[in-house]
Amino acid sequence: MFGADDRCLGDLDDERAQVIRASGSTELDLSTARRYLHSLPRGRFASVAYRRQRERPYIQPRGGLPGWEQQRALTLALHRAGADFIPLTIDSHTRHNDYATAAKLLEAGHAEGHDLLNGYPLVSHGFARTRELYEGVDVPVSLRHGTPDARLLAEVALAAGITEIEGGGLCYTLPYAKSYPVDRALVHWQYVDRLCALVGPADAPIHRESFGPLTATLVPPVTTVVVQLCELLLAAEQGVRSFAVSYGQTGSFEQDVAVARVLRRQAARLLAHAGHPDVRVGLVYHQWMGAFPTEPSLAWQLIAVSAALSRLVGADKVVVKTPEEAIGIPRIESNAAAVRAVRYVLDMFPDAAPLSSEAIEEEDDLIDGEVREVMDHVLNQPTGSLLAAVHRCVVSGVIDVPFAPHQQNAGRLVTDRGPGRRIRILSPGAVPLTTAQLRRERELLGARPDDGSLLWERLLRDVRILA
Amino acid sequence: MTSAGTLLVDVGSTVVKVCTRWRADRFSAVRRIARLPGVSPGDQVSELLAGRSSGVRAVRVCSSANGGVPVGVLGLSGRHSVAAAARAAVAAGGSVRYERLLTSPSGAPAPPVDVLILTGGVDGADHHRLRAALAGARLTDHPHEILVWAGADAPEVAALLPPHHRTTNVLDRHLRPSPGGLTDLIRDLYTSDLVGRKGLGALADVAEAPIWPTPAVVGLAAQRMSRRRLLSGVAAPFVLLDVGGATTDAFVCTELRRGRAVRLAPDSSVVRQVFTDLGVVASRPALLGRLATDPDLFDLVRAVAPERSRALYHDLCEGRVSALAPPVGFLCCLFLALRRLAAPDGPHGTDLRRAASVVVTGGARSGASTTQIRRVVDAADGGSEVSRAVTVDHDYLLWAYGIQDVPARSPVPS
Repeated sequence: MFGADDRCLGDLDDERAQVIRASGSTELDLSTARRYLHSLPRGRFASVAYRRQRERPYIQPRGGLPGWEQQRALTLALHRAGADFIPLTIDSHTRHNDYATAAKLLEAGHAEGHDLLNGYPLVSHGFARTRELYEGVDVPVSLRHGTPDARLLAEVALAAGITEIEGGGLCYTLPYAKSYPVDRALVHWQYVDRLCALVGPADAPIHRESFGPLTATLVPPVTTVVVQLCELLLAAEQGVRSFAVSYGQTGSFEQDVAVARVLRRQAARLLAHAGHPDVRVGLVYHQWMGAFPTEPSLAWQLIAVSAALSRLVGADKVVVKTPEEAIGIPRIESNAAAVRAVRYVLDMFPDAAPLSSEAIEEEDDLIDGEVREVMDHVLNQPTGSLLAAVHRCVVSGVIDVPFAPHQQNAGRLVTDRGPGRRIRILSPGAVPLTTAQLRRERELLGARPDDGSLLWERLLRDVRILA
Repeated sequence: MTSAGTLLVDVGSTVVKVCTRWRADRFSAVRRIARLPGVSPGDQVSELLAGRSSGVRAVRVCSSANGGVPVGVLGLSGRHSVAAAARAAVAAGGSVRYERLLTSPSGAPAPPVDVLILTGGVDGADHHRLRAALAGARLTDHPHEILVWAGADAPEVAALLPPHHRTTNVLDRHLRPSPGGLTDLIRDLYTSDLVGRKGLGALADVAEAPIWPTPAVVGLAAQRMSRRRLLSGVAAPFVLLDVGGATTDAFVCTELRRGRAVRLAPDSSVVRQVFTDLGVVASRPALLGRLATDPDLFDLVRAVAPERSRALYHDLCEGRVSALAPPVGFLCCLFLALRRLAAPDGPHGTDLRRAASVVVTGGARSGASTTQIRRVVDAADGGSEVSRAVTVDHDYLLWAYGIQDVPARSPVPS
């Protein structure tokens, strides 16, 4: 196991100063975020919300619009609809650190009267203007993006009073980038983690969240859980004290429950083992992240069932889809309606007891064993740091995300969907599973359909399995 | 100087090292004298000798050689003749630029080399396959100045490609490496080139032994060190690293090699590896390029400069030359050389964890403390906590130990 405390970040202040200086901002400095966050009411902190007792999962929509006025309208609409967390989803140019293009398109879109960006260009708007988005809002705001190098974005977000930062060096690189070097991304996310650990008040630390759905395409549970655990440990190493692991609806109820159990169990085990038992870990469930039905009535059914599942797996928060998911960026009204609908469903299940069945136990046992094997491999890499070990495991294919576009992702792990729509490992690539585990995966996969279909045809069909 | 001794001189690219050998393994302190700009190494050393003639009984000289003589290898079998020839050339201080098969011509022309080694076949065997391969060889695709035949001892084969030099086959009749003849030849070619290029001709006349390249001299010291202790605290099996301006040389006790490594000559006790892209002066651009894309860069910066690792990481990613200011460049070479030696799937196959000692020598280490070096060695070995001595040749004595073993005469075969 790697050291509990990484001493090698003594020069973060220098780097912060460089990052801020390069942004050209004359208002942002090293203490801006810290000062503002200390002045915020505690109700605005995600970590405080996670500590609170509740009867149902928190509800968080997604949402980012280019203009400040549009985003303000969305924020207020979601707040009124009962969202427990308010999202701020960032546009693609900002995600890829192309702030100049984001600013140019923001201006052009404003002049032409239509949107040229697919999210809120936070760096272009700046922290001061963004703070005003949340006047009168008394719930936490969550930053959603997909950025391998989120250093400046995180600086601005924290200075704007955003208290939950989603992402990580793996989950925001492998599914979102093609060539951004994974080791660079991990180093940049080390900055973000340490920054989050440094600037929050002691009684209300900044909350970090990883993004478990990854490519949301036949990702086996072991991969999801391993990525979440790696990012949890990397964050804890930098001093993050409040963190949420997450995953997306798999398509199998039994696997959904089993993944939740394994995530909680392994997170606690590994944090204790690494000397971070005080890190508070939440669990986030993403409603179906695959292709959505275009027909609104079907989309609503899927949203409702996903909402119920989030309660049954014991999630602390559910990230909500909208009935316009299949069409594009949802309208404000549609987004708010989804929040109300999910809240309606969740209120039907006060104090739902955890479920169990033979199939769930079987899945739990298999996934847990697989996760242990892979995490042992990660943590026993002959290297001096967890970051380098994780990077090695990506490059060598030990961590392998199906269908990830990234060039450094091995792409040798092959999965298929078996009985009960459970995701099964067909071929492990370089993922170090035992022979017994692979044999069990094969047994559970069962005989392949005798319809003459080829693997690639089944995979293609699976993309639209609920659409 | 109170009594006569043998003056030992190592002519480097930036520094001349001088000491006196009083008797076997007994030396005066090593003096490091900066090279004079505009004065040839030969003239500078001659002047030095003139000022000391009263106390000097004899002179021995070695010289670093800007990375070694460039060598290409073309042979019949990658696992046997080519591997043996390449290893022989490296042991002699050569820098192997490519290894190719006669039977699989590469589409791209080879880079120019000073010496092209042709090899293949077994003495006394049927050579029809070798003759066919040589007949098809396109030497114009392998530009060179000197052609050496180090294959089967068969006049009709060598006659196909009249070489400048012939030496004994690098394989014996049991396909075991037999590098001695080729090693001697390459070293002598190297030495002649050195003597000519650095203006050391006058010195060669007064020296009691041929002027050898410094890496080969350090190799002699390594051979001796594998048999008995030369430096305090150094036990075999060891890895010895000599970081220079153009290359980093590694001398590894053969018992540290893993099973799948290339076969060695039966009498080898230390094998030399040379990394031509790891050097702190001439190879600095190549080093920067390697570092920017090195998958282990994060481990490296943590070990090299833990107090400013992130800043160094970014500087190296961006290829800033200033990032390699002493001793960072030296420590980076050390780290990368050890990682390459120890890579489980790499060609060098060294089990670093079984090394009782890691020894570091060479003038490039300017300013690096033993603590820093130890940290880099441990990090390169995967952050292991293996109990192992890390010894720094602070007094630059290894080359002195080695130069006293250079045989008095080693004529260049024609």
